This record gives sequence, structure tokens and C-alpha cells, in this order.
Amino acid sequence: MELRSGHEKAESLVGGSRRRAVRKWNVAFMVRESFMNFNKYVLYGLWGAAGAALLWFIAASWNMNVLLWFFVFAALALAWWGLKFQISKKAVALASLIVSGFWTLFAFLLFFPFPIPDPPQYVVGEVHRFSELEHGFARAFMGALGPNLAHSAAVYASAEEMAGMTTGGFLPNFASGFPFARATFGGTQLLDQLRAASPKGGDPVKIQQFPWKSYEGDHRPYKLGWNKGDFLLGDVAKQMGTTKASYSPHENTLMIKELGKWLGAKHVAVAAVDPRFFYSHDLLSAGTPLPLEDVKQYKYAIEFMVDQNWSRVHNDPGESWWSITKSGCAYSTSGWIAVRLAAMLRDMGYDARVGLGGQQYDTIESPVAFYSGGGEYGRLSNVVVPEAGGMRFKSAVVITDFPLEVGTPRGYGITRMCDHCDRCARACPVSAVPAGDMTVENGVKMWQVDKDKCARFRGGNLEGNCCNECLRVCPYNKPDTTFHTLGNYIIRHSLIAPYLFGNINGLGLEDWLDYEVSAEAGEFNVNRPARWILEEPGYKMQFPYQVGQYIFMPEDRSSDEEWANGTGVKMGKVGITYKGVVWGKVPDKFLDSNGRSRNFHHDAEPSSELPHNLPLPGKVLKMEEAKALLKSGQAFTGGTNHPDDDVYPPRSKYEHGFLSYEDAVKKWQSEK
Amino acid sequence: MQVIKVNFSIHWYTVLLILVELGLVAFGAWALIDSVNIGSTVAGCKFFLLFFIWSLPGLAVLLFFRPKEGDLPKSNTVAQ
Repeated sequence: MELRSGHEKAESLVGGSRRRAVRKWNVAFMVRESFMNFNKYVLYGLWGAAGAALLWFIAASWNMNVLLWFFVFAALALAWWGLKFQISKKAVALASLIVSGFWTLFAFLLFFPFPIPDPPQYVVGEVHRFSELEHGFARAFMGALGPNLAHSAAVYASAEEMAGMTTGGFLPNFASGFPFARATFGGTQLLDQLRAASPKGGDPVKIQQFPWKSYEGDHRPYKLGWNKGDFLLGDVAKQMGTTKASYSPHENTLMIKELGKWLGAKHVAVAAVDPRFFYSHDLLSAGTPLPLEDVKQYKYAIEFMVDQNWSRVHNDPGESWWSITKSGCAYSTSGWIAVRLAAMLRDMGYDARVGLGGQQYDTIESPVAFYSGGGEYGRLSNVVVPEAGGMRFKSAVVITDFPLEVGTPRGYGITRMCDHCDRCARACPVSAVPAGDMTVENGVKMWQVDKDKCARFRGGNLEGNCCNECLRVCPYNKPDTTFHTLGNYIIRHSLIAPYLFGNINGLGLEDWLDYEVSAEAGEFNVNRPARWILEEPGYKMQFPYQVGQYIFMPEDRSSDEEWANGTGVKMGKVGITYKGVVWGKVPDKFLDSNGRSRNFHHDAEPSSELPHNLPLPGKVLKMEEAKALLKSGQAFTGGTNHPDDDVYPPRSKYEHGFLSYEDAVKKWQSEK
Repeated sequence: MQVIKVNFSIHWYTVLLILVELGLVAFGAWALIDSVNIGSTVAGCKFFLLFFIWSLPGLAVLLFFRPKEGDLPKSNTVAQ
């Protein structure tokens, strides 16, 4: 490749020896020579800048902004080269082929269907059933995190109003504190009585009488079909090649999925039940144990996932009063779908029972999503289901003995992606989402969210309830367009996609694009600086602590108790150093148009909107009293981290030693 | 009758580069349209800008990286 400018060619006319001689003493000539070599120096400078950008891109761990500078400088260098120097045909061919080849290789790495990573094995040790009273919201409502948070409703409702809510069947909390939230969550309250044909676990369940005289609840003497004539839905008939139902598990599954989607589910998952899915103790009846003997007939779980709606998640900042209503809407809708289809299954002569949101479940839902092959666990301790908007869904579950064809775990590359992406961890206002590697808790290796921190902030945020920030920034939170379906394909298959989209070590494509800014909501689509309910300064929770029939033991103390009572008030991300950023000095790139960080707390609220010295909803016991109540069967306790001897009633045979999901399912299927 | 002569010649590698550039810009346009449709105008503009920036080196080659006269391929001539 010839790199000679017109000036150089003129210079070459001067004899070589004379030029060298002149160079030795003639400064003026040197200056003139330098000026004539200006074009060359500019070219070297541009290539140098491009090279530096590339090195910086690598040094800054795949920072997208820097990568873009590489392309700009490379283009400028090529343009300068072409404009100021003679270019040979060979050089043009070479440059064209290098650029084309680069993008062809890039396209190959991005679009070629490379093998998808296998789904991870999450169960690595002894797994204990989870007590429903041990999840973050239950602990908040029940007072295990302190009295102020348990009385969060008091900040927007008078004592009379709270009493009214209680009488009306609502827990006075952040989910029932204002009209639309009460309306949407009210849907789940209305559905509660339709969950099953008979009560289990102390639930306030009523039988919905079927008008046919032959109906005897769980004991119908014969099975009914879908309809008279056993006609399949048209699209299922097309898949089966016949209109006549045969009630094979495969066909049953197709029908249930089709009916679920028809009723409004975005995705329907079917998995075999592992008995460890069942909660050990029931929340709404404040601690009723749920013995596995009572639920042996339930071999299959169907999860109906309802999208919380891209537009709502996109346009309403998480820390606003609207956030919780998204949950309420999707919980009510999924509950409605599940209740109707469970009623249908019961009327057909099978047993079916519904778990619906947010507190009326019998099982943990997320394993159903994973073991059905719907997705993988992500950094948020929950299953990302690409077909249902990532994690932007709420779901209800039907457990049944209706024969179904169950799914098996499938790889989606989600764990690989989350391993390279920490947008949710960075967005979390209280650093509840783990930024590092997976950890093992309760025999399960996955990313574990700090549920107490998360629940305290979502339940006690005085500038709007719930949060939604992690959902909003998740790269999987996209509408169901062809463009984003292609994006999901790329993430599943491509080896470079996690580096391109992820940002664990730098700034990823998602950061650069800034999807969370909405044109529809405009400047209103920003969060307010957050304030939240703290416990009194120096407050320390006393254990054992009894609420209803349930006793929280010392093992249940929140690991974040000091954080929750405002000690030091260095809450959230303030003062934490992460990736070279000291939170408290918010980088400009994280500031919104008002100069406020979208993921940073500006002040804390030591309960100035609450009366002081609020009582706990339950009572503190002495250890001897607690032990006596537990041993006599008058109270119960559980929890995944309790020793076996401290769990009442005792753990089941499925909760001792390592047991894989597949083996647990096999054993459970054989239980009569 | 007026005779219009059109001289047009292009190397295969230039065709390849043009296709690559069109692909990049088309992808950027698709991203822009999709993002605007879902209310993410900022993301759409940035997406298009991303693909445009990615296409810049190729555009520089196409527009400014020209061979010397004698290196041009023999032209095809169309006469009417």
C-alpha cells in the first residue's frame, strides 16, 4: 500500500544526499518538512486514536461508548487516507474486504445457531420446604421486621379506615392503601373462596356447587369430557389431526395451554410436582402446617402467567403509587384464569386446587416455570420466562391430578446472560439484588435476593409503594415484537451476545440505548427520590415472636436489622463502593433530567409520618413458652435455615439429604 | 435520436461492501421503527445511531477510499 502525499512526491525530487545534509542544520527546512508531513501525522494520529479506543474498550471491559469511538476514529482515518493519499486498487480491495469480512464474521457470531447452554442444576444439597411466612412480604406484614413496617398502612390511612379495611377482608397494608390498588388486589380476595372444592391448610375456601345432581365434589363417580361430543378446540384439533378428543396427556396439555391463553395468559407452563414445591406453613391462616399427606393427589402443576404490560412497566416509574397496581392487575387476571380452569377440571371429575397472588398460594411458583422448560433463574432469584416478558409477569398455579404431559428444563442462555449483566443489581435502590456470583442457600445454588431489604423498601416506601426498578431495566423486559424475539434468539445462541448486551464489567448496549426512558410518559417517567419507613433508632427485634399460630425464632432475625432501624442511615447504595463507583457520588450517566439518580436514595425517613412506639402485631415470648407451645402442637414454626429439631411439625422425608428434582418427582408420582 | 451512454463498473468486493452497509443501515432502521413503535424514541434514535456509527468505516471506504485512475476496472457500456 503506497502512503505518499503530493508533498512527499515533490520532496522526493530533491536529491537524497543533499536533503540529508540540509536536514542536519536547517531548522526552517525541518519545520517546512513537518508541515508537509502534516497529512501523514494526522493519519497516524487518527489510527492511533482508533487503536487507543480499541485498547480502552478492552481495558474498560467492553464499554460500548468507547467501542463506538473506535468506529468513528477508524472511519475518519480511512476517509483522511483516501482524501489525502494515493490509494491503489489493491488497497481498496483490501479495505473493502476487511470491513465486509469483519461484519460477516460479526453476523456469523451473532446469528449462527450455536448450541444453547444446558439448563443449570440448581439443587445441590438438602432442600427444605419454605414456610410461606418466611417470604419478605409475609415477614413485613407479620411484624418480623419490626412494628413500623408492619403498620405501613398508617401513613396513608386513619385508624378508622384501617379498621374498615380489616373488616372488609383486606389486610391494611401498602397493597390495600388506596382505591385502585384495593380494586386490583380485591380481585384476588374475591377469588379466594373459589380456589378449591374443599378447604386445605385453614384457607377460607367455599365449595362452588355444581348444578348437576351427580356432582359430589372430589368423588364424582365418572369423568366428564370437555363437552358433549368431545370436540377439541380447532387449533388443538389441527395439531392432533382430529376433532375428537382422546384425553391423552399430550392432548390434555395442548388443550389446557390453549384455554389458558384464550383466557388471557401470556404463557402456560406445565411441570411435574416436586413435593418440595409446597409451602410448609400457610400465611393467611397465620401458620397452619401444610402436611404433604393432604396433597398427595396433586401430581401436576399448571402455571398461568399474565403479563403486567410493557407500557405500564415502561411508563410508570417504579417508585410511584401506581407500581403495586400492576401486580394487582396481573395477579387478579391470572387468578381468574386459574380459578375458572380449576373449576372446569373439578367439574370434569378431577381434583384441582388454585394458588393465586399475592398471598394465597400453596406452592412456590418459580420452580414450575423452570421445570416446565419455560425459562431459567436469573439474577433476581426468579425465573426469567422470555415468552412472558422476562419477569414482567405474575402468575397463578393449578395443582391437579388431571393427566398432563409435563415439560422438562430447557436451556435459554439466561444464566449465562445474567452472569454478564448486573443492570438489576445496579438499579436496585437498596442493593438487595446480588451483584456477584451465585450462592447456595437451602441447598439451592442461584442468585439470592436479600428479601428483607427488598420487602422493607417495597412495603415502606413513602413516595410510592413497591419498586419495579429491577424489572424495568432487565434486558428481557421488552415487548413481544419480531425485533425483540430475534434479540432473544441471539441471547440464547450467540457466544458474544452476553458481552454485547451485558454490562457486568462496564457499560453494555442496554445501558447505552436507555430503553427505560419512555416517549409516552416523557419527563414524568422518572422516579422520585425515595423515603421509606424505618424502625425506631436502635430498635432490635425480640424473638421468639408469635403471630397467630406461627412463631418466628431467633434464626429468623433479619440480617439487615441495623440497616432497617437507620443506624448510620447509610442505607441503599450510599457509601458503598462498587466497580470503582462510590455510591453517594452519582455518576452523571445515572442522573435523570432533574439531576436525580434513578437508582439512588436521597434521604431516609425515620418514621416521621407514623406514630411513635407502635405495637407489634404479635407478641414476644420467652423461649420456654415458645418451646412448650410448639411441643404441644398449639403453635408451629418452620424456615429453611432452622435445625430439624426446631421445626414443628417435623420435616417430611423429602427434606433430608440430597434429592434431585427428577428423583423427588419419581417418588412423589408413586405416592398414593 | 439522442444517444445516452451510461458507464458503470463495480468490483465484486465493492458490491459486497455496499450490501454490508445496506444491511447495517437497514437493521438500524428496523431498530428505530420498532423502538419508536413501542414508545422508546430515545432507544430508537440511539439504536439507529449505533448502526450508523458501525457503518461509518465502510462508508468511508466507499466514498473516499478511491483507487488511482489506471486501476479502475474496464467499464461496461450501455448504448441506446
